[in-house]
Amino acid sequence: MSNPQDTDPSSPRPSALGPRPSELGQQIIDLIGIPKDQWEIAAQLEVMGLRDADARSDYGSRDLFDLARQIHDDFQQGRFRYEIEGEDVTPRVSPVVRFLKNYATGLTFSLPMALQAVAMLTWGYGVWGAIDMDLRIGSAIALGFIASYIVTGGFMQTIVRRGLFYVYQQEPWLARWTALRSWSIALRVVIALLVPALAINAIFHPLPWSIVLTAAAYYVALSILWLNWALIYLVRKTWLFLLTTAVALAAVLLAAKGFDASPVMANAIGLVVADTLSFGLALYHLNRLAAPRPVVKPPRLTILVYSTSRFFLYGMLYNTFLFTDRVIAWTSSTGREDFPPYGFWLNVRYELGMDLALVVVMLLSGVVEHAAQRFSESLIPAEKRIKSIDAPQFLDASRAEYRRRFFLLAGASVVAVVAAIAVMLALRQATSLPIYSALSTTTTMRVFAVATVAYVVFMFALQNVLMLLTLSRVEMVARAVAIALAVNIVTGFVASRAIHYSAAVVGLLAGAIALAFLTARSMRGVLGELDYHYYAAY
Amino acid sequence: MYALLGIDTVLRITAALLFLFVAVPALARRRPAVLDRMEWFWWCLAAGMTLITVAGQILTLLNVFSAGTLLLVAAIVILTVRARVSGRSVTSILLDLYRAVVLFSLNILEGRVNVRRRLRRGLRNLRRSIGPALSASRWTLAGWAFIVAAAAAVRLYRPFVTANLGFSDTYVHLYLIRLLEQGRQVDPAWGPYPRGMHFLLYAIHELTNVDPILLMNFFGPIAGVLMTLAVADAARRLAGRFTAALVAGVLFATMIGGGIQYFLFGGSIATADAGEARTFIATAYRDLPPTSGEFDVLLTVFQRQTATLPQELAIVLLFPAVMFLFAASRAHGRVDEEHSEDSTADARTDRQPTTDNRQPFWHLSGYLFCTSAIAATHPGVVIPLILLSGVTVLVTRRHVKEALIAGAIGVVLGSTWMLGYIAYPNTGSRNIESASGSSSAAAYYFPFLRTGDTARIVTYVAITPFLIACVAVALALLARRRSAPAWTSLAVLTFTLTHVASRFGLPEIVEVRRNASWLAMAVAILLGVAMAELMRVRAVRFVAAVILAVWLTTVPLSGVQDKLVNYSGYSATAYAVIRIQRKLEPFTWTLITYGQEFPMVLGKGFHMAAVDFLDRYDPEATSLDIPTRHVFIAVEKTPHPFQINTWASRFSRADIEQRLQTWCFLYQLNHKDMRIFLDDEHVRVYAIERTPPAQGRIGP
Repeated sequence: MSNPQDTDPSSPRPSALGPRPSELGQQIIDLIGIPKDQWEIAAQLEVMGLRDADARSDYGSRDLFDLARQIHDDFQQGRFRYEIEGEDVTPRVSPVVRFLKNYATGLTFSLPMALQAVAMLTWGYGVWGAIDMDLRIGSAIALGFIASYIVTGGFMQTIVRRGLFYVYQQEPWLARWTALRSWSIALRVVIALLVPALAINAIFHPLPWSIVLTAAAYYVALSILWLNWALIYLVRKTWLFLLTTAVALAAVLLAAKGFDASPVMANAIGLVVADTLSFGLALYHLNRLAAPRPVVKPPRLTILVYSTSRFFLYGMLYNTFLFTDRVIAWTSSTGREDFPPYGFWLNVRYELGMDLALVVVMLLSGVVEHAAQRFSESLIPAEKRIKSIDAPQFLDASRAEYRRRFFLLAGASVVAVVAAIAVMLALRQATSLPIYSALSTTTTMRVFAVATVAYVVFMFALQNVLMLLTLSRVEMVARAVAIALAVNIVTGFVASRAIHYSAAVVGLLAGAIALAFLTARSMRGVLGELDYHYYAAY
Repeated sequence: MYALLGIDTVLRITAALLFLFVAVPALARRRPAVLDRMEWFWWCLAAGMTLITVAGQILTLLNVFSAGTLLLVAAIVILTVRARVSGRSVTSILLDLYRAVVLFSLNILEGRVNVRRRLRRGLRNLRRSIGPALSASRWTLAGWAFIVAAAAAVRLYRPFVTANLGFSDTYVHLYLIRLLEQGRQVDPAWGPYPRGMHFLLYAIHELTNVDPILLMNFFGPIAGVLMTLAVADAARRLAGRFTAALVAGVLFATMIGGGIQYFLFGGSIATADAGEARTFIATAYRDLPPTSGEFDVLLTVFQRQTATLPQELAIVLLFPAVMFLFAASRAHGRVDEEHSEDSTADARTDRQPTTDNRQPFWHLSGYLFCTSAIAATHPGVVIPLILLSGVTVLVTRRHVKEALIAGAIGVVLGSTWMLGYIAYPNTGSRNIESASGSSSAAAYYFPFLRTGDTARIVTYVAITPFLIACVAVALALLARRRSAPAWTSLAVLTFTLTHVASRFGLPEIVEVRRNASWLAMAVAILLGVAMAELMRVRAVRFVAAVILAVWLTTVPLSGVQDKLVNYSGYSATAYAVIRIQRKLEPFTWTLITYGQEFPMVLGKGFHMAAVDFLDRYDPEATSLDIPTRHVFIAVEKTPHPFQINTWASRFSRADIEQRLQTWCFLYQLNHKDMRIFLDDEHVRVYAIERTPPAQGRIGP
């Protein structure tokens, strides 16, 4: 048997197959390169939509496998042209520069949050929320914010994952079509969900209408913002998050300070600006990405829905996980220092403890982004460098790399925790801050301490989640997040009712531990068969 | 406005009951073939109440009783039962459900499923499947509807007319539900208490967010309707004819009391002086003093059915429980006879009586759950249950052991509330004067346990010609030597004996006014069964119809019910609380009333008893130092006769109301922030509304 690599690619030998099968064989080799075996050819034939009936009627073969075997035999006999893929050109970049670049990308997710916090402390206003708002409006905004985040979570993942899928497939028009179609469906769902929400409030009346209507307005505005940000993420312009936040903040401050608008009105203006600007920018970049428009038939709605359903589920569960503890804490009256008049009532002390702990997330998000990015970047070159018969070597190297990233994150976590404590201590010295009195309470400190640990554990889990998603193991991730969410809810619910409302944060910790454990276990399994998972991922 | 709130409340309570005891069981499994629809309903009601109580105790221990956890428990029950019935695992059921939902959603998105057409088809199929059954039993359905309508109309009259909760006990039960909301099952001052009704009410509240005050006002009458259904169903079962159900149901539904129906049970009085008692019960109804409402035995029975009381809820299951036992014994009998015939016939076939073998299981489990629900709701009703169970065993003479075991398990299962004594071992005293304490409560409910001076107090009841006639009818039925009429007769004779026992120096096992409730039910059943027996003779049918028509002329359409309105307080005060809490943000207001509105206000605002308020606050002071923005003062123009003993020793209710009125008058002279919030013929509610700066000067 001759070695295909010894043949001259420019002079194919005559095929044993007829002219059409020969044409087909060449088409296959052009698509997949050097075939590993006949099964790979059979798989490609199926991908191309051929059936056994076609193999029989058009090519005289018994079935698709017979046809694949013939093509493989012909290839072995050197009857097809082929090209050997060269090594990927990797630009020489200093690891430090690369880290800083990835870290900055990771920070772009958290910088809008940080900007809001600074603006709130400095001028008393954020894009959603203001220091001077009473708890009634604060509770409404918190409800609207959380609801918007949970409802759009699935759609954001759908837009990004499916959009990127088409981008990687060199189908930018489809990416644009899918993203905008999902955006439009999401918006309709967001608005449609208001109907049962308002109906439930009308029937069961858990909250007064003033709170519900305010929450509904913030919910819609923020939902649009998150969906727009998903579009922006798709076009890889994450720095626009910061830009839109900054412009919206400027609008809020102008309205509040310049025109004496009420906090809610100022927020409304800021959110309209943020929504319009972010959508405009996202559309502009999507149009640039998709031009010129090729003639491509978009997938049917059901196929779009079904193919993205796991990402949708993951996104929704993930966002729910992030805010479950707050919902649980603010619906418990056990040990509350105030008299919560309604079933859902914001608690500043709890929120403050959670916000301070978010410093850890902000600082570690860049590290995690870098780890995920490097995992994605180095996987293909690493696989290509190693011969297929040396798979164990590839697996060992991947495990070692995983361990290294684990320890890197552990080291960064220590730094992040120290930084978070330093920020907290610094704020406690600032007696002029309006949050000063709340900062020194036991509840805030207790929540801060537990939430800091929880977020550190969560970042380890997130690193695993992102790596698993890189390998398209979304089922594993969705299952892990679902279990972690259940642990979060059960632990937090019982602790917040039986012990103290602030013990809801224990649910977050338990959930984060469960998520870290489950995703680590999945990662261990995946790393043990990384060659297969890598192959199956794309 | 109040009428609309009432309708809304009735709908919410009904919806919750249907969800808990009809929808959840229907989702869990099909009705067992051996039980008819009514039996299945009682089975589900009893099992549901037991489950709600046990689950409620565990959930409340963790302070996690909520709509979410209740729905979770319901989902677990549905899945577990479905898994057991279908022989599949819970996981596979869930996976199938998930797959079905995904497929259905995709089909809808694809436009392959026309939802409207499917709904129309579903309706068509439903009509086709139940249509013939409906038309075949339309008269029976109409009969049941009539019974329900009659019972509901007379029982719901009181709560629709007044926002006052009726008996003062109901306010205590509202307080106990408020305790559950705080995750507390035991009030340390009172000690453990059976929580069956409270957990059911709490579940209804959590599932529907119904106003607790309105819930307490309307739930009792709905339980009264269920009592009527229980009576009718028991009569139908015993007579084997729906006529009995109709007669017994209508009879019990319209047993209201009052002068025109005084001939039924007459009067009663608790006293140590036998002479005084004889004189009192011999007095004509029109000559009785107006304050002696509880003298009229039947009126008291009816009044209890219009208020939310655990005993009445427990009584709902009394007759269904013994009917389950009765049916179980009869089923056992049939199976044994079949086995016997089979053996004598040399086992001609291999047929196994599988269906009948399952019948005792369902009936015995129904008996067990009814017993546990009764024990969990009001253990006092276990006494008549034991008596009736004894009657059942005596009549059927079978399976005493099974009945004893099922009953004992039921009582144990329903008595888990007694575990509270582990945490509160020292609560209670034997002092009957004290309203608190388990021992005193036991002595109150069971007079034969009383010691000291109170032991000499005996309840004398009238022995009316009607009662004597009922005994005669019972004896006549007993002579027929058939088990069902014999059971009915013995039940009536037993309860008649416990009713009149104290009059003849025998121990008063259960307080007579409580015993009267199940006596009235038993009498209605007896008359239903007797009437059905009479109707077998064509010539007597006309006479029976005339008797029923004559009976209906004795139903008081007005007058008597008014005695029950505003029984323990005025409607306006309770309605004011409802209006305030609907209008204002919680915890921004304080209410000052004579006293019993305290549990109504809990968790929504603040309450201060008028007697304390008058002691602490000067109407001429610059500011009223109550740190809420709104303060409401309810003043009774006509002081209500009901008094709280603790305060009555210092001031009468009339004195307090007079002083409160004067206080308001003086306050108005010195301040401009007082206005009238609500005013009617009996009550005026003043509102003091401070501006935020004024409130800021006072406190938080």
